[in-house]
Amino acid sequence: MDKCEVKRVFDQVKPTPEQEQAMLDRLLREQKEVKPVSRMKKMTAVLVAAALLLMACAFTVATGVDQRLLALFRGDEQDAQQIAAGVVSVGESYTYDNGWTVEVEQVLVDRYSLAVLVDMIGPEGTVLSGEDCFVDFASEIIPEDGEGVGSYVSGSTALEDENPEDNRVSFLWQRGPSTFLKSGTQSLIGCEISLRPTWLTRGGSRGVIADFRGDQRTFNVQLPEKDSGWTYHLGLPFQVDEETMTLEELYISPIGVACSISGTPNDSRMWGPPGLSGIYDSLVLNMANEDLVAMSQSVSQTYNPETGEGRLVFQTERIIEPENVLSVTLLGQTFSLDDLQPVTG
Amino acid sequence: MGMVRTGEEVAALYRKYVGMVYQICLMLMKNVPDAEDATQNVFRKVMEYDKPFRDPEHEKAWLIVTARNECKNQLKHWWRKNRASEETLQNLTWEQPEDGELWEYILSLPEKYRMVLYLHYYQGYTALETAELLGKNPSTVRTWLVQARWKLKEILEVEEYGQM
Repeated sequence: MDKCEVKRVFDQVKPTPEQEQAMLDRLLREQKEVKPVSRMKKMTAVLVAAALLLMACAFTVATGVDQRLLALFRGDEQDAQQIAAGVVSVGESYTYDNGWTVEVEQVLVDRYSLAVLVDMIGPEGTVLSGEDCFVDFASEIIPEDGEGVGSYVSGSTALEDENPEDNRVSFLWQRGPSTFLKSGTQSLIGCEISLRPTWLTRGGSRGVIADFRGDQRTFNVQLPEKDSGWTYHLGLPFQVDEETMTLEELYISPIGVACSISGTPNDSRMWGPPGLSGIYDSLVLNMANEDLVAMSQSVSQTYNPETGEGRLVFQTERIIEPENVLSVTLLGQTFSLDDLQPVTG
Repeated sequence: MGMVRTGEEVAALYRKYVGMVYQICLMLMKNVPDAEDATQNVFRKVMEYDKPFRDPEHEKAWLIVTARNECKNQLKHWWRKNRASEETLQNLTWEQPEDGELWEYILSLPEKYRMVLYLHYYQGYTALETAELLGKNPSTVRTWLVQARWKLKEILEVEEYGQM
């Protein structure tokens, strides 16, 4: 293997002229996807939307938690009580010059994750199904006083669209905590979040349906002071592949789990031991009633090679009561929480 | 934040650098659809970047760093589609069959090695310049370059040995 071979190989993985043009076209394309809808379909859409709205209102009155949030966690009304302290009802909407309306309904938060329930409503005549659609926000946590370079992970999921023929789709936009190279991960509890819609796209970034970046409108939400999660300090050895790391802390909330781990400082590997990526699939909460609760998604995984510290945040597949978690299994190792004194919010 | 560059300006930057940005994205994302998405996102960020570039070198360096960050961010996203590894070679044609194999070997290296190989051997950056781009110590980058070469040599030798 010599330099020329490497150069020759890279020369061959350039985009083709057709690929270049297609990407540029997608990049510069203005919002599209507006299709006419028949009057009958429109009427049906309105009726279904009204029925859904009534159902949502009824549930909201009883628990304060939107049923769409509960449905995501396969929760019932009892579960709603469990997460109610982490829910903020926002109910603000704004219509942009391009005719689109963004309605921020509710925010669900624990110490290290945040989920925003948002409705995107197209101009009259728009047909919008949530299939393969994504919404994105620019977000800022206030105060954000971390030191060094900071970053966070965010993304959205379109909720099941009861009426793909209408102009409304609900999304759950989620973000992890801000993690700073020098001062670690910042808690979201008691902070304010400023949300500014940026894009509604289809197929990842392939098609821009609506662009909101020309407007500075922000939705500001004060997050709850109360933390429903429990924190356990463990400081126990933890095997990741061939390496012994330390499981420093476990945070367990009704909707998620965060693991703080530490390993070798000045680790030259950018993302830490490759085995860390296996934690998501292996993490199980062992409940008092012998139920096992797995994770439904990874919210954020950060690793600081300078300090060898990492924080991994996951969302549970259903709402849980943190006090009923007896032990946690990750990468085949079980850590009992029985004799540990949790710190509660 | 509004658009700070005209469509023409972005298109000109795009035509100049799309090859490089795409190569980086393909090398890090390891498949064509994700590389295309990441490339588009990088140029969207160019549209949003509200400061002028000092000179062409700054322009190029900014795009390299942004492409790498974009891929790193995409790889952390939980909704990223797990595309099959067979797609790695899809849509790629090779002058010689062994080039495809070498590409696969390059992709099997850790990210840090792939980046230094590309920046040093393909883009012609010195170890010092590569270190600046990656925000690393120059001695670390020199070590990575040596290790990357050894790693690649090791893989190729094992492969040759296996075929005997």
